[in-house]
Amino acid sequence: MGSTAKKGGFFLLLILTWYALAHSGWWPEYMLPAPEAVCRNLVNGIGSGRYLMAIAVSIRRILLGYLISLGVGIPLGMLTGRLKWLDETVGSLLLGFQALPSIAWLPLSLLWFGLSEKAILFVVIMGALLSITLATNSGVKNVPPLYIRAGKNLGAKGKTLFTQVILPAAFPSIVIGMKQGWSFAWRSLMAGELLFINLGLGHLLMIGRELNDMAQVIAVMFILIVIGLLFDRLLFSRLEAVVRRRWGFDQV
Amino acid sequence: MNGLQILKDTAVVDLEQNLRTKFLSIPENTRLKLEIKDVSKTFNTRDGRICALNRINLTIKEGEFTCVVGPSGCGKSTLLHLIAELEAPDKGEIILYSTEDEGRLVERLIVFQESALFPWLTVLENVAFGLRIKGMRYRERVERAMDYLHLVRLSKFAHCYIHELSGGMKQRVALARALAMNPEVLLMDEPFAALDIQTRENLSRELEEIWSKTGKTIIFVTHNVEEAVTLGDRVILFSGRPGTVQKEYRLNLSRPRQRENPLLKEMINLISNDFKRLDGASINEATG
Ligand SMILES: Nc1ncnc2c1ncn2[C@@H]1O[C@H](COP(=O)(O)OP(=O)(O)OP(=O)(O)O)[C@@H](O)[C@H]1O
Ligand SMILES: [Mg+2]
Repeated sequence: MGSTAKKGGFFLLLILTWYALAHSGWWPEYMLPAPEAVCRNLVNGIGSGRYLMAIAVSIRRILLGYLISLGVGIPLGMLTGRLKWLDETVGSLLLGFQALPSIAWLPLSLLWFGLSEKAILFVVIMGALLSITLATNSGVKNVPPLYIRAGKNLGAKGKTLFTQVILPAAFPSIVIGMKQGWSFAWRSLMAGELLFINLGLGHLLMIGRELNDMAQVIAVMFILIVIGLLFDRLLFSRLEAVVRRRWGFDQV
Repeated sequence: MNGLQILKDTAVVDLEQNLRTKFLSIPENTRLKLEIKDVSKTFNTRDGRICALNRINLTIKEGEFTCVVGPSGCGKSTLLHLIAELEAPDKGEIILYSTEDEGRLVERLIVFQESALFPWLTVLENVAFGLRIKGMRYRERVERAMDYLHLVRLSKFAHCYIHELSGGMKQRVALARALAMNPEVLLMDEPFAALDIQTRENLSRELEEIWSKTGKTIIFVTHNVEEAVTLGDRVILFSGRPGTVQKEYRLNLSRPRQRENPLLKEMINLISNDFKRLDGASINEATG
C-alpha cells in the first residue's frame, strides 16, 4: 500500500510539473507539448486506427522474429553446448558476431532483401538469436557435473539424460538469454523502423519528427513503454518467478 | 572366531580379553555380493598423474553394512564412483553378483557427498525421478515415492522445492530417492558430514533402522570413526593417498547399538588411534 501510494504520488507530481512547465510558455509547443495534447493525440491516433495499425505491424514483426530466434537459437545453443567440435567452430563464430550491434546488419540486410519485411525480420533475428544461443550454450555447458552423475546413477542416459537433467538444469540461464534476446530484438526493430522501414511504431516516431509533431512523438514513446512493460509482465516475470520458486531466491 | 578380528595382514591389535569375548561370532553363511579385485585408479590432471586408489581388494557380503574411513583425498569417493560405474578402473575389476528381483530397478546407487537433488523438481518428483526414467506409471511411482518419503519422515514436505529444505532433510530425501530404486548395493558418500551432531546421530539411527528393515547391502564412507563403529558390521580403514586398504575391523555388536556401550567406545578408541597414526604418517610423508 505504502509503496503504491509513493509511486502514485511521484508520478502525479511528475505530470503536474510537466503541465506547469508546458504552460509556462518558456518553450514552444513543438519542443514541449502539454500532457493533455499528448493525451488527445493518443486518443485520436488510436481512435482513427492509425496507431493500432502501427502497433499491430510492429508486434507482428517482433513476434515473428523472436519466435524464429527462439526456434533456432535454443536448439543451436544446445548443440554447441554439447558438441565440442561445433562449439569450437560455429560457437566461436557466434561469439564474434555478438560483438556486432545488430543494427549494423541493416545495410547488408537491405542489399540482400530490399526494402521489405524480410529485411527487418533479418535484423530482428540477428538481434535476438545470438543472445539466446549463447545463453543456452553456456547454460548447457555449465550444468553441475554432480547433477549429470546423479542422473546417470538413477538410470538416465543419452537423450533422456539431456531432456530430463541437462535441459532443466540449464533453464535459469536460458530464461536470462530469452529476456536479453527480447530486449535486443525490440531495440533492433525500433532502430530498423526509424531508419528505413515503412509502417510500424518506429516509423510513426519518425513521421512525428518530420511534422514537428512532438505530441505524436511522445505519444508513441508511451506506447513503446507500455508494450515493453506488458511483455515483461506477461512473459518474463512469470518465467523468472518459476525459476525463483524452484531454485530459491539467489538465482536470476 | 571371535567378534573382533583383524582380517588383514597388518599389525596385531592387542585387545583386552574381556573386549574380545564380548563380541558375537560372525555368520559365515551369507552370500557374496560384491568383489573388488585389485582395483587401481589414476587421474590425469594438469599437475601430473594422481594415483587415487592403489590395488584395492575387498569382498562384501549380501546385507552387510560396510563402513570405509580414511583421510581426506584417499580415494573414498573415487571407490564409490567406480563401484557405481560412473567411472572405470584403470586396473582390476569390480564384480557384482546380482539376484533376480523384480522390484529392483538398478544395481548400484550413490547418495552423494554433496546434495545432488534436482532443484527444478519437488521433493516428491525427485524421489520419483529414477522410477519415471525406468518407465514406471505415474500412479505407481507417486505411491512408491510417497512410501519412501514416509520412511524418512518427510511426507509432509512432498511438494516443497529443494531449497526449502534444511541440510538434514535434503540428505533424507536423497536417501529416499536412492532407496525407492531398491538398489542391490547402496553407496553412501559421507551423507551426514555437513550436519550438526544431533541431526547426524538422529539420521544414523534412522539409517540403521531402515537398513535392518530392508536388509540392503550398504557401503558407507565417513570421516567419523564413531559413526562408522555405530553403523558398520565392518570398518575398513584406508591409508592416505594413494588409497589402500590399511586395516579391517569386524564389529559384531548387537543392534540397535547404544552409544554408551563400553565396547563401542573401546572400538572407537582403537580405530581412532590407528587412524591418527596413519594421518601422522601421511603428514610426515608430505613434509619429509
Ligand atoms: N575427476 C577427477 N579428476 C582428477 N582428480 C581427481 C578426480 N576425482 C578425484 N581426484 C583426485 O583423487 C584423489 C581422491 O579423491 P576422492 O574424492 O576420492 O577423495 P576422498 O577420499 O573422497 O576425499 P574426501 O574425504 O575429502 O571426500 C584426490 O587427490 C583428488 O584430487
Ligand atoms: Mg569424498
